[in-house]
Amino acid sequence: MSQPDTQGSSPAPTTGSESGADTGLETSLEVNNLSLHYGDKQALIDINLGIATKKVTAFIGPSGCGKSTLLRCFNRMNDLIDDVTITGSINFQGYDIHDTRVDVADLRRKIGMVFQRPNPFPKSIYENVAYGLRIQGEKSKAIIDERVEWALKSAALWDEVKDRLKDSALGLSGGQQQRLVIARAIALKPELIIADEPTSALESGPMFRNCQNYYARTLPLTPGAQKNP
Amino acid sequence: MAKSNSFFRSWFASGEPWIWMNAAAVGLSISAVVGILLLIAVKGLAHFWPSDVDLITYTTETAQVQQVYGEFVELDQVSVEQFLESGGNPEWVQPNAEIMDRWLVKTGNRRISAPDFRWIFVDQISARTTPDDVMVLERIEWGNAYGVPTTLVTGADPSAPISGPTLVAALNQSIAAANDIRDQISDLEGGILNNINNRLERLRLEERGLLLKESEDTERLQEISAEQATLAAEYAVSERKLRGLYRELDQDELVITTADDIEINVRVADILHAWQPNAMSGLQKTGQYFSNLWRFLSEDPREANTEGGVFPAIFGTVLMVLLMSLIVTPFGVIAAVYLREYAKQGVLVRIIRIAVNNLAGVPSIVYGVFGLGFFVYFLGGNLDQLFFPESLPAPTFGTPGLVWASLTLALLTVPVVIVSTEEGLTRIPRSVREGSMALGATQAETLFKVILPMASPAILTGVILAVARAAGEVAPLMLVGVVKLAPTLPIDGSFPYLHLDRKFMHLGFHIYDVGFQSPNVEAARPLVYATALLLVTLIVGLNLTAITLRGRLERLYRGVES
Repeated sequence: MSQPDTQGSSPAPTTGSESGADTGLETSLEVNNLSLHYGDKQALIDINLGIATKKVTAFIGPSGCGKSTLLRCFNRMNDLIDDVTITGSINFQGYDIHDTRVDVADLRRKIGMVFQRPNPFPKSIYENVAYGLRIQGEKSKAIIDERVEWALKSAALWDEVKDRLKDSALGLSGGQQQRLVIARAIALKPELIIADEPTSALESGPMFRNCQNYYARTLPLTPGAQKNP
Repeated sequence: MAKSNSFFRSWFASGEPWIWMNAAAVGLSISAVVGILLLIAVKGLAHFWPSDVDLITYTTETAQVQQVYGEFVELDQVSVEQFLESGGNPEWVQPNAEIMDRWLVKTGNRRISAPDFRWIFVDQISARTTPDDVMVLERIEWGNAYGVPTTLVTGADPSAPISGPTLVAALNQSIAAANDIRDQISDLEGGILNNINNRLERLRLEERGLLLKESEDTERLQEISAEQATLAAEYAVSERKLRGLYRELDQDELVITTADDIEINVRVADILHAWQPNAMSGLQKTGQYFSNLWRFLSEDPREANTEGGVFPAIFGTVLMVLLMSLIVTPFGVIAAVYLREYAKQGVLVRIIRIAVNNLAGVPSIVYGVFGLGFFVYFLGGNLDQLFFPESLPAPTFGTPGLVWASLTLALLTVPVVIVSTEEGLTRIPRSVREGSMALGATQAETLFKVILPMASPAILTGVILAVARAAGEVAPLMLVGVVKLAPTLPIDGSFPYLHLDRKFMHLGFHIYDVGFQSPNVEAARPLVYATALLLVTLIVGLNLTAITLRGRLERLYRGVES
C-alpha cells in the first residue's frame, strides 16, 4: 500500500505501545485515565485505550454513550464548549495534547476530523478543499492545485466535480458533500483522521473503502461505519 | 337562532375571521402607504408643470373691476358663515347658499402688485381668457413675473429697442447669453477666486501660527508675505475680469405690461427663464416640465429656499448618510462580534445587550444634545486646541459640522447594526465553525474567512435599517451641523477636497425650513411636497442599493443556514 508523504515537519516519535499491546501494534494515540464532565454531568469515566497506527479503529456503542465526546477529545474540539472539564491525559507524538506547549491549531492539522453531518463552507468546491492549506499559509497555486486534485481523487469525488470546481459546494448532493469534507480533511495529510459517523450520508460501503485505499490511517469509526466490513 | 349561533361558532373555530382580519390590516397598511406616496407625488410633481396663465377679470371687495394674469392653483370652499364673520361682502352671498367656491391664483409680480397669491371668489369672475402672448418670467429675485413683453432694450444698441415678432427670439437669445455669463461668473468665483482665497487663508494661518510660536524663522515670514503679494495681484486681475463680466451682464432690459397696464422694466440679468405657456404645445410643455424638474434637482435654492433647487440638500443628505454608514458598520460589527463570539456569555454581557437594545429607543434629540456637548464642544474644541490653534478663536472643528453630524447619527443607529449582526452570527451553525477549527484555523481566521462572509447579509440588513433611520432623522442634525443655507458644498476642488468641518444642508431639515420657517407659505407649499417626495425617493434608492447587494450575498450563502 503506497503511503503519501506526511507533513514531514513533525517526525516526533510515538510513545511505546503498551496500551495497544494486546494487538502488538504501534500506537499513534494513547488515552490514559480520561474523564470528562459537562458541568456536573460526567460523560466519560476513566478511559484507557490506545489507537493503532495506520489501522482502522471503530467505536461501537449505544446512542449517547460518549463515542463522539471521546473523539472530540482527540483534537480538543471540546475546548469550544463552555463548561467542560477534562482530567487524565491523551498522548500524541510524545506529548500530552493538553500540554501548554501544544499549539491547538497545529494539533488539529495533524489530527483531521470528519463530522457526522457534512459541513462544507459556503465557498467553491475548490476553495473548500484548499481552505486548510491556505490557513497554513500555502501561497503557491501550483501546490494547492495539485493537492486539491489529489484530495478530491482520494475521496473519490474528482470525476464528479472536476468540471465545476468553481461552483458553490452547497450545490452538491449530501453524499458528494460528505466526500468533499473528507477530501477537505485529508488535503492536509493528517497523521490521524477521526471520523464521527462519516458515512451516514454515503450511499455505499465500497465507496468509503475506496477512500481508505487511498489514504489508510488510524481511522476510528463510530456506529455509522458498522456496515463496512 | 340556535342555528345561526352554531354557524358563527364554527366559523370562528375555523379560524377564518382571523385570516380576514389579517387581510384587512395588511390592506389598510398598504393603502395608507400608497395614499401618502400618491399625495406627495401628485402635489409635488404637479408644481413643475408649466400651467396656462389666465387673464382673469373679477370684482374686488372694494367693488372695483380688476384684471390680473395668474396661474390657477387650487379650488377651495368656505362656508358662508365663515365668509361673513371675516367681514365679507354680504351681497356676494347667493340666497340659500351654504358654501362659496374660491380659487387660489398665483399672480406673481411681487413688489409690483402685491400679493403674489390671491383668493378670488368664483362668482365674482366676469371673464377668463388665456391670451397667447402672456409670458412667465422666472426671476432670480422676487419670484415669477407675469406680463406681455413689449420691448427689449439691448445694451448693444440702446437706441433701437426690439419689439414685435422678433422680440421673443431676441429675448431668448439675450437670456441664454446672460445665463452663459452667469455661468462664467460662478466658475470664476467658485474656481480661481475661491482657490486664491483659500491659499491666502492658509498663508494667513501659517503666519499666525509662526507668530504664536514666536518663531525666529524670518525667512519663511518674508516668503509668506511675498506669496501673499503675488496672490493679491492675481486676485486683483481676476476681480477686474469679474467686474467686467458683471457689467456685461447688466445691459439688456425687458419691458413687460401687466394685466392692469402697468409697464415694468425687468433686467434680463435677473431673468433665469422665460416661457409663454399658453402658446406651447403639449410636447413643448412636457419638455419645459422636465427642464423645470431638472433645475429643481440640480440648482441651488434661492429666495429663502422658496425658489430654485435643492441640490445642496440632496448632496448633503447623501454624503452624510454615506459617512454615517462608513462609521457605523465597522463599529457595530466589531461590537456584535465581541459580544457574540468572544465575550463570556454571562450577566454582564446580558446587561450590555439590554443596554444596547434600549439605546435604540432613546429619543433622537437626546443624541443631538449629546453630540453637541460631547462631539462638538468637547472633542471638536480639543481638536482645535491641539491642531488648529492659529485659527482660534474662530473654531474649525469646535463647531457643528458634517463629521459630527455623521458621528451623532452613527451613534444613533449603532444599536440596529449590533442587533442584526448578532442575529446573523447566531444563525450560523456551529458545525461550520467546528469544520473550520478542525482544519487548524484559529478563531480569528475562522471569523474572517467563514463567519463574517456568512453573516454579511445580516450585517447589510442592519446597515439598511440604519440608513433608513439616519436619512429621515432631522431633530439631532439641527444641533450638530445642518443649516438652512450652506454657502459651499462639503466637497470641492480645494484641498483637502472633503471638508468634514463644513456645515451642510439636509432634505429633512429643508422640508421643515421651507414648510414652517418660510415667509411665503403659498409659494413654499408645493416645494415641501416635492422635497418630501425626493427624500422618500432618496431613502428608497439607498435602501434598494443595499437590498440588491444583500440579495446577491444571500444567493451566495443560501442553503447553509438550515
